[in-house]
Amino acid sequence: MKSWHVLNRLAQMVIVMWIVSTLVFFIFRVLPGDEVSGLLGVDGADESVRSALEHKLGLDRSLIVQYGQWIAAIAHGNLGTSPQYGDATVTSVLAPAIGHSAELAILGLLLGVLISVPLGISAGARVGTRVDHLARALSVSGFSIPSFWLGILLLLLFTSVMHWFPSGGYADFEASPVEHLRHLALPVLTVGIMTAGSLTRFMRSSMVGVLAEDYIRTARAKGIAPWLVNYRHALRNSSLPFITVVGLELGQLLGGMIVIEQVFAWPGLGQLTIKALEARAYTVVQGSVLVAAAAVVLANLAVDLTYSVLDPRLRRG
Amino acid sequence: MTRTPAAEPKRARLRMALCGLVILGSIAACSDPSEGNGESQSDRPRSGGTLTIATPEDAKTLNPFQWSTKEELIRINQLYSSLTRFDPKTGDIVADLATTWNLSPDGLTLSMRLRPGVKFADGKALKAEDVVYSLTTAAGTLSTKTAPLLTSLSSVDVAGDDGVSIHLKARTRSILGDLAQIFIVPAGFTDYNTHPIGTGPFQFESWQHNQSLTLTKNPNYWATGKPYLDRVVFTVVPDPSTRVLQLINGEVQMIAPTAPFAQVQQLKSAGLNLALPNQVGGYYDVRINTRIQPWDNKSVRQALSYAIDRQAIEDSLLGTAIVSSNPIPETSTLFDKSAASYNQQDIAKAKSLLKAAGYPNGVEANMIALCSAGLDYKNVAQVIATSAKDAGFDISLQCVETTAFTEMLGERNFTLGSAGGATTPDPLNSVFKAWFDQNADAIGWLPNHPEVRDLYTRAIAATSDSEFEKLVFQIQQIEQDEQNRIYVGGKLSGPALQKYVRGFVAESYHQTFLDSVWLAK
Repeated sequence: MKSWHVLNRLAQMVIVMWIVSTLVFFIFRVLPGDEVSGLLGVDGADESVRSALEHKLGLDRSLIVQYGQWIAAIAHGNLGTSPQYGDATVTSVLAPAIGHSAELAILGLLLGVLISVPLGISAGARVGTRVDHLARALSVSGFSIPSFWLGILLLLLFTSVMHWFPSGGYADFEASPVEHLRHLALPVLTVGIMTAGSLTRFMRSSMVGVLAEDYIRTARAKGIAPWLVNYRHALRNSSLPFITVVGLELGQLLGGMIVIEQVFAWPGLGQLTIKALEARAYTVVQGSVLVAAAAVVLANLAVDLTYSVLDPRLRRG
Repeated sequence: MTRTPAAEPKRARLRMALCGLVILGSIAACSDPSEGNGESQSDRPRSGGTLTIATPEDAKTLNPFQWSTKEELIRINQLYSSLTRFDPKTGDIVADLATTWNLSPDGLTLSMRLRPGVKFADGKALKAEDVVYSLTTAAGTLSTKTAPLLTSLSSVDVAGDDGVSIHLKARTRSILGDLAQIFIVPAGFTDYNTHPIGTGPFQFESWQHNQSLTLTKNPNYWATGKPYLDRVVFTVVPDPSTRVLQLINGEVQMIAPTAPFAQVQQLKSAGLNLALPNQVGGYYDVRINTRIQPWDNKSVRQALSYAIDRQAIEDSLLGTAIVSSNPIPETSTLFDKSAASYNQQDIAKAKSLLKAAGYPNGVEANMIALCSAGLDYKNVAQVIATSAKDAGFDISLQCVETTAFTEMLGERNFTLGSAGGATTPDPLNSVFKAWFDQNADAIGWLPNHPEVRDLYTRAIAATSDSEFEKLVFQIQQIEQDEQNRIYVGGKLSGPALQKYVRGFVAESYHQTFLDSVWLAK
């Protein structure tokens, strides 16, 4: 892919992020409840306290002024601070959460790919057989089952019954890599099963289409082993649409696996965003939305770049 | 005597019996000698161990003057101490950082002597200047939590090496209870969220936002031998089912501030303890905007109160609430038995009140409910809406978040608001929170009745218990009749914990003190 094309996509990314963040900025301020109410809690406070807090947070200025100040700060890479998080910088609040979500999303998706590729290929190569029916049943189950239900089921099975894993939470990798992995296992398994459900279907459909091509028939006629035909000749071409879906899934996962993070008490971006939204922590939510938008756009860019690697026609074009 | 073959088995059994007796005797000899005194080893506190507590949310701040949630208070309680505190068992005011105090005859100066030898977690000695700084900061406008408690504070001075003089604008009976909610920090200190320093039983070690807050034993804590625990870790586990699972599986030792009521039976079945406070420490209520029709009509408000099935509310909350229509607990000496009671649902009376008020066909209303505060709040709101239907109230429920609820009340943009609150054991606090706090402006009734506020002002400044009681009774008579704020139940909830967690006493105001907690395992 030519470098100007990459730069073009990055420029588009900036525009998309600006549009999304502007929408969030104004929509958020139209919602009932504000940052001061979030700080005061349900007991509220009298007018003088409320006014003093609004002044301290700059909320007594006009919306346009607030927006202008925020955009100017963003342009300098400053996402602001959050009084709901002890006046910590938004970057320091978001960074760990982003890392935790990215870890869960990438590993979960990787597991999903590892499950869906062989399953999809087997089903696509054996259409109408028991293998195909089983793969499709598993696939439908995977994306039909609600994530919270699956998560709780896995928790009950692997913690209460089998006592293999802890019941949610997070352990620092540096403190104990083994404990970290044990805490990661069930949420990754949940994400993996869910994504495998939809990815298997795509892989299967793609394989069915590719396996009907003439060059595949030629390969078989030449006596090439079936597994080579499937994995070497068919997979490459059938992976193009598959990669698109993987890229979209990754973007969505990075944006927030709210339910899974909630069930497993995984301190990721989704959970943080929900809590920040409830507390009307404006700066944190705005920062989080920016990150999510960037994740989706970057994921799509990565997909495009991968396309050009896999498809020589795109490199020449 | 000759030994016969037949006698051998008999001697073998005798030898075995003798051996058994010796073994049993040895076991008895090795047992705890104190067992003879009625004590067992497991009753005596043991030092050491880590207590892990799962909470639904993280604290957003550890600023002891600006906290706003129970989750924040439970963490702050471990880091800081106050001049006074409430005895967890009796609710009486007892000494903490102040050992003695004396109120001047005019009630305007409270002289307090500080406990000698107290140090902050960083080893610096507690001085009177620290108390002056803390109280002055607590009374500042931006101290959103503590400023309303100190509206009567005029000034604070150092009085000698180990004392302070607290000057009040007017006599106030609640000052000692108010001081129990003001935490003491070092003079000039502001670093509450990165390295908090207090005189509490635990000191700050680390805080991973949205994950965990770790506290370690404060070696400079003034109570010798305490705390027993080496470490306390607060984890963040938003999902109630996961919290309960972690407790059942033994991964955490406590879930706080309260056990999810929907899983109370599950916890009991799993053999876990539910630590309930000795007294009701909170309430569920309906706030009414009396500025709009028909809610400016007392009969309509009374009708709604009679229509609500409070027994159904108690039943729906599975033992974590009690039937109550008066915010003053029935066990309190301030409870006026002759004040109007609405504990028993009375649909016929509700209907006749509505008819007399000119609404024979009933009333429609929108009620905002604080559902995000917990499933119990949602349950209460649903029971209210359902049970009031029989009397002709058509209440549409709108679940809102805490911030939206606060704003809507503040802007008077509501008709009915279902929420709740917590009170300290101080009787005056119950009265204040019930009818005279910030919500009174939202409700709109009190500003039009200055005579009732005058009763409260006189009650605060009452010089004798009998005068205080008389005034509170008068307030109750009026407010229970007016029903501008309808009380639908008393809260009786607390943490759930493992059986081997000992020494924990649940307190009514979600104040959770862990200095006397120890692990029997």
